[in-house]
Amino acid sequence: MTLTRRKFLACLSAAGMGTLATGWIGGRLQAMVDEKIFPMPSGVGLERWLGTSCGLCAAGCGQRIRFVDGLPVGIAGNPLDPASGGGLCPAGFSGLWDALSEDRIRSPLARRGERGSGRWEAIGWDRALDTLSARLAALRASRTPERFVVLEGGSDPIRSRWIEHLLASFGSPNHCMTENPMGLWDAAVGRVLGTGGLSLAPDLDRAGAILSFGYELFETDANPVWQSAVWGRLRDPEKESAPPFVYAGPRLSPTGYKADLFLACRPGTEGAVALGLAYALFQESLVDDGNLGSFTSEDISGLRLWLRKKFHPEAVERITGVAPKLLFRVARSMSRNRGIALVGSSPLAGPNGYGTALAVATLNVLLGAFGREGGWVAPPRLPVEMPSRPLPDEIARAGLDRGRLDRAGSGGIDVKQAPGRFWEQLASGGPYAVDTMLITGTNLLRELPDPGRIAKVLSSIPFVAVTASRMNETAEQADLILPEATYLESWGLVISRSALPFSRVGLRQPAFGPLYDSMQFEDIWFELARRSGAFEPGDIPRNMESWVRAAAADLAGAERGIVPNSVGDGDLAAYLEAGGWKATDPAESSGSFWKRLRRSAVWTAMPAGRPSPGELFRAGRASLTGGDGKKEMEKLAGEEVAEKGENGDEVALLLTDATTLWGGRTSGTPLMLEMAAFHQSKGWETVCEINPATAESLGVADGDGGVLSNRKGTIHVRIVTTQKVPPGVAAVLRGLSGTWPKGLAAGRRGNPLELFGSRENMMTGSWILTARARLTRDDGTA
Amino acid sequence: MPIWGMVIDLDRCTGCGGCMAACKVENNVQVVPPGEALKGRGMHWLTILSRTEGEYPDVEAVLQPDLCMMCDDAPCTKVCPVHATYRGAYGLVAQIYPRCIGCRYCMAACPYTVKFFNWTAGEEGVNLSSSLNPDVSVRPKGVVEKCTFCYHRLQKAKERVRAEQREIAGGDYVPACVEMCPAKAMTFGDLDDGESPVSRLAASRRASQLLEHLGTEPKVYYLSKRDRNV
Amino acid sequence: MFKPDPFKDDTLFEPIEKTGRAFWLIFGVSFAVFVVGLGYYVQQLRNGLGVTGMMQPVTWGFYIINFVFFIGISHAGTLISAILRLTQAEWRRPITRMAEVITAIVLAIGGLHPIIDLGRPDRVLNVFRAGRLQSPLLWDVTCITAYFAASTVYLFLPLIPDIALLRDRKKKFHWLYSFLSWGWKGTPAQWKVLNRAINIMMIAVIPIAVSVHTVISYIFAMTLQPGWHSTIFGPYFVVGAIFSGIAALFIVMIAFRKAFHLEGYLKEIHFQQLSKLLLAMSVLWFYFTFCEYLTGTYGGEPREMTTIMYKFSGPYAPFFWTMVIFNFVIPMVFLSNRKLRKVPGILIASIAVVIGMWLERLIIVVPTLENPALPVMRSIYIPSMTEIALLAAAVAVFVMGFLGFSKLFPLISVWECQEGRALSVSETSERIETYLPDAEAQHVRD
Repeated sequence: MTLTRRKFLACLSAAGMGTLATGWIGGRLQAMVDEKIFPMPSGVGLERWLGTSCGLCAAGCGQRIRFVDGLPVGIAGNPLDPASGGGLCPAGFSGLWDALSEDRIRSPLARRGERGSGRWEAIGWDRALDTLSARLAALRASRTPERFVVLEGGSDPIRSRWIEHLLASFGSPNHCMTENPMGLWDAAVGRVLGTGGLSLAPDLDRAGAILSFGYELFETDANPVWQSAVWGRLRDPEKESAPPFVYAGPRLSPTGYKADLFLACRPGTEGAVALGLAYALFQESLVDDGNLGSFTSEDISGLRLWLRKKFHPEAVERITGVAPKLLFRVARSMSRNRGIALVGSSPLAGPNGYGTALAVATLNVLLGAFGREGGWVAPPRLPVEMPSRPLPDEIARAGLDRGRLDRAGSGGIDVKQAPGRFWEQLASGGPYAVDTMLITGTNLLRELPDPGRIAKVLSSIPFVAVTASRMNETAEQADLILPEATYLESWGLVISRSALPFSRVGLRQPAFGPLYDSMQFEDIWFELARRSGAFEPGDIPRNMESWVRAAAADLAGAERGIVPNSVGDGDLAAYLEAGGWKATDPAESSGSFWKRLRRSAVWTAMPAGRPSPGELFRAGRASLTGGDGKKEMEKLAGEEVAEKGENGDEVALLLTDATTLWGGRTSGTPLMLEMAAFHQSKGWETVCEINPATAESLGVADGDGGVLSNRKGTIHVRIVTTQKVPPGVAAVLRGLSGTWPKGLAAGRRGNPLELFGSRENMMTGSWILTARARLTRDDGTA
Repeated sequence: MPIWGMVIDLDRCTGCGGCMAACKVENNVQVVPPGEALKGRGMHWLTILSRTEGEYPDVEAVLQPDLCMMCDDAPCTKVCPVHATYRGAYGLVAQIYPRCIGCRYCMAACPYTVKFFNWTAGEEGVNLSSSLNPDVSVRPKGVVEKCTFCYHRLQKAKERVRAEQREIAGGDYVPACVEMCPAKAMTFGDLDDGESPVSRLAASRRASQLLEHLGTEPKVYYLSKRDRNV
Repeated sequence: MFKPDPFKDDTLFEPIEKTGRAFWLIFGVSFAVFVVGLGYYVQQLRNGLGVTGMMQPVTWGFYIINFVFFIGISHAGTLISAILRLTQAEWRRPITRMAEVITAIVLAIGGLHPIIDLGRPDRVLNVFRAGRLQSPLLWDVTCITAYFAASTVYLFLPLIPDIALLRDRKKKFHWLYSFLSWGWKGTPAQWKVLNRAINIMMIAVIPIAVSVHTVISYIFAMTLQPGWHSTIFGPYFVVGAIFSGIAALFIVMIAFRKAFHLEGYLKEIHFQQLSKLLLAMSVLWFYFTFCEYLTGTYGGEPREMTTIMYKFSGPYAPFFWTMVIFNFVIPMVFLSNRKLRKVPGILIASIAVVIGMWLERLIIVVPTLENPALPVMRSIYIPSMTEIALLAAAVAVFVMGFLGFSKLFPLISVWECQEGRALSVSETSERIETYLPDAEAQHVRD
């Protein structure tokens, strides 16, 4: 081919046209591809909001569920809720994931084959309920109704009341809970004040200072959302000064980050710190002897001498590691600012939980925090009544007389539950054998220590029925699984036992009907009761919805308390009532009330009048140290209390909880697992925090895979080094499961509870969670 | 036209993490399966950073929510070859998902590391496809995404105010994170309006910004009495 | 008048006309590697970039490293061909063709890498639909396209007389050579036009080439990240590119010299001269590197120091110091010592430099990304099989491209060698005479 100018120009223009054509074709192709991949939804949708209350923990924060064209597409907080103020914890957003999870149990399942073999037969509700109720009827017939045990997680007070209510009439005293974290505190408060076990609420909004002994305000103790809201108000920049916040404990938890002072003490020695502070108060003459004297017959100067002998600053420093200077500083600040001291579930599960609770209660007494604004106040009684209990018949009375399996309250300490002793009794054969156990609201094989022993105990029980919404480790070991509806599919009323110093009742109403063939627990319970033959038809509500309506009618008739229609109504009502006016409209029909309650999903009442110590102290019977309590508290000075960490290459284990996992209750949802330990920027794995010095001495590094092992078990963890924990201590996150959700089991998800033995406090029957283990780098051989 | 900005009061923030979860749910952000997440591909438009200082027991720690700063002089917008990220109306740094070619240059340029890439398509079983927020698109694999100050809520607010026959102003909408904070630590509004709460807080003594010295002019301010920025 | 003879220098035509078993073996293996790489890429298209080892915060990895690396090697062509032609260095004659071929192939490979790196390659045309001139990536697209066009033209122009020779030999592919030679008859007018065209291209190519690697460096330098935001990056990258280009050229030269018995054409002196250049580039590279790190460490700015210490003594220390040894110590040892500056030594030094320069790209791209300013979640970048396979495939494409070219066109410019034999001695001595002082000047003092 010969190149001529013409040919060249022709080629050039051909090339140019070709490029343009390609460009144009390419552009069109692109547009086609774009449209196919992104068919953008168009058109309008009808948006609707439904108010309800979260059911993932006991706080029951108000939620609004968003519907678009009838489909639930989102969750937000309920700004009308006076406790949460429209806020939620991370778990609160995972409700839809929970309800729509693939692991939902679709229908009642009866075991085929060995327990735990995973073979199930789907059966209908009738057959399932009849199977269970036949056993209950048989127990009644053989006059041994006490052998029916209901074991629950205890995060829903109304549900607990219904269990207790019907179980008592059936004839079993064994309404047991897997854990009762604040029970020790209630018992200690009751002992110190001279009353029975008493649930008080901290009036944090008006607190002058806050001293927390491991009480995780912003994580999993009591109502973290309310507590966060309170914190926001306390730290409002418009205010002149903010109440000081002191955090005492071995580890600087995320709650501790916000503290003005971190009182670092050895694990398990919080009680000694409290008593050291008590002594400092005496030393600085900050104790109002006269006022106290009016409430107690206890020898106050004797108390002072006892404190000086056992818990003088040098002794406290030896036990806890806290410098005397700090003790005095904190004591002065707490007293001057009229502070409140709180103790959290973690120290209460320590080696001497009851002693610790008594110590903190004593400190509160000396601070004058009981019955004071900004201190511990009695939460108002809620006008939500259970129907009157049918009198137990003869069979039932006999059953009740045989006493609880866990002998709660038998140590002379007024605890309603003895979750640790429960398993001990079952393992050793107990006062009587268990025939049928119904487990609900808990995945105990993952949430309780020494799962090995628990599994063994379960295997010795003739019949185990489990209600659960999602398949889990505990359900796998059942003979009968009853599919439970999640809170988004249920009716209920949420009351808080003790977290709030004002009244709040949250309405729970279903966002959609029970998915698959599930029923909410209360409806299952009512059906069981009906079929057990122990009740008259009139004793039992038709279903939970009907009871909620009836209870709402009680609310409507209450003297005080309103259903807020908009934010600020609650404050307005409090203001009116303080001025002596009525905030409620007596002429409102119950129908209208019900409609408003369904729209706002919350009812609230501020306390009437100011709190006073006299309300709380049983005059003359307050013991301050609780009589026997002194012995318990003396143990706080003992050598065996502190869990010393440096023993060869062992680390002392501390359990930590996160609002993403709630100890295992919400940890089925990928959304939460993904941000499980977000404070360490980690997720999906069990995080084990150790001090860099410990890491160096053990030969592990930040980010390594680690293995924790002791004679109870071996688990896999992810190591994180941080200065927030003392040397010799490993803080391990609990709540992750190695098996669920199915198909997402990658990552190191050891359950630290497997390393814990089943120790329980002899006197109180509560759990003692202490353990040590060896930590090594995982080089793949473990 | 309001210039949207945010102020986060670190003294009020309790590190509860609700904002992280709310953002994910509101914006259909992918939950990344564990294998991927452990490789470092997690996607949290709003992350809570933490930094610890000192040695036990004299240790202090700070928690700080970190999200797109909506920089007025954003390094990411300068380097995008296809104009998929740019500073648009209302001062928001926009992200056009259908145009992004996934070169990830903006991610390399962002000093705050607040842009995220869809390394894989979202997986069913990990992500809840049945209750996605219909107001927000679902991004396919291969595109970059980041916080948009809940732009879909702004769009809805615009429609509302148009029905009311007025212009949009600060206070007409808030992003999901601001709405849900129990401690009310986040304030959101019009930085152009000198009287608005955001402006006053942003000008307060306690206010500072992250990586101020880079000159990116971020529009997220942090309030802290003790100057405890990470 | 110089007229190339199609029937001389048969050695140079032998690779085209005869194909040994080794050729098929090497080509076959390369093809297999390429196909495997292609398979991995298809997986990446289907599953997304998650198949790579990249993650938050290391969002750029092998693909960008290889992109910079291959474009860097492309500078071989410019330096040798254009600059040596410009300075009339006679020893360039047997080398230019290979250099230009390297450039063309490697530019194609390198230019494809950003597309391989894209999350949405199906949308690459958005660069034209909605392109944003402010973005350094767009400058890249422009400059690399221009360079590719220019170097292809610059490869083709001096190839025309050789194609004509092939056509005249009337052996294989006669139709192809007839078409491609575009009616070349070797008339003086045509020679004049050809030489003028080559000269124009030779001058045009130099600034384009310099701009290419400069704008690639701007991708990093225009961000605010420590370790990237450096004013020295433009020249640094260009020097590094030329450095790696010469080393790659050496490897190709030595390989083909051995394979096609070209010892008569690629003589000792060529290696000596070129290795002096390589040595000079090594020292220059070291100088730039030293400046870069001295400035950083002296200032001690915390974020800069984090990145620098990460390279000096942190996880990237092995790579960093290997790079220094491979790029500076080994070339110094082998190339400054006359005894060691022989073909084997030069080969070792060149391979070391190629590896060292790849490591340099790694050290530039990844440590900065692994050290974000804020305490976000970090990870260590570990390349996946996909990325390694695609690197292997890129090298395989290079090998195949070269082998393919050697099958169709002579790897040594035949007409330039013949021109050199015929004309260069006289031309050069004429030129040197003009340098010498005039005859008159000698007598003035007397």
